[in-house]
Amino acid sequence: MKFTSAFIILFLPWLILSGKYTPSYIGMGVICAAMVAWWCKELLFPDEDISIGKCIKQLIRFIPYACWLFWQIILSNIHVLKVALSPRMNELISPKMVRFNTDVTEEMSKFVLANSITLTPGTVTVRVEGRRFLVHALTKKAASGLPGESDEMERRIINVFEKDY
Amino acid sequence: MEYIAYILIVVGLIFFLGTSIGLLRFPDFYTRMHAAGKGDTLSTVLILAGCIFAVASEGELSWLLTMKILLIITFVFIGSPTATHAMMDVGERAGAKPWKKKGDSK
Repeated sequence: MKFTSAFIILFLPWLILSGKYTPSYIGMGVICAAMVAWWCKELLFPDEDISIGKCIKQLIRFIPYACWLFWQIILSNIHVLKVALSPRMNELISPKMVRFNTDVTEEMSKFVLANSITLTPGTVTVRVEGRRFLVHALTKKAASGLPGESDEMERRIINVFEKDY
Repeated sequence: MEYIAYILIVVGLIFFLGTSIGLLRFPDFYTRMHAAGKGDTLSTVLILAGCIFAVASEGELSWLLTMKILLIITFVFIGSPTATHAMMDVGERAGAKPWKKKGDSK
């Protein structure tokens, strides 16, 4: 089960990246993907039980979240551009470190939460230890949008990864 | 098609410019990483998407090329915030002092 999933994950990019579909190239791809999948399956899937159904469910629920995240990324870039080009930059920014505890528990959702914080306007994740997050915020307004004070992002992630099972 | 490509690439370059200026103007390590980590992601994605349209306008677009570029976009999306995060973490461990506004209590 683990081997099959790892093999598929490795072999599809091979097909896309090689772009040559003669038997020798595909054969090489099969051999390489099988070898790496055999050695690294425990690394890719440390949990005991993985189910394809769960993965597909998460993937489908991830799509609206990804769209929301993309919008946040555009906002955050405009924010950085505005602050960087403003002549009174030192008055606009007031950086500070923020610590908070999160409600999400699974490794995958913590990873997504950390990366989402980094990509949304004015905040970057510095460290994750267990459930404690250390975040650097560029402005006071950015700090007030963090999961410690407003839980919109956390709620969305819990909806995607931790509901129904 | 051609114009969509131009617009995407130019907007991507504007964001890259903002990133570079931010990188030079911000006061300390952490705020500079803000500029670098965010500007990178979106502008790379925009320029790569522009490349898809640029190739399409010449009539040489294949699904293989599109898939390759989309694969690069996916990896940039995962990789860029992770790299930013790694550098912030190391900076904090190495003891880089965050810049504070004068008169800020915290």
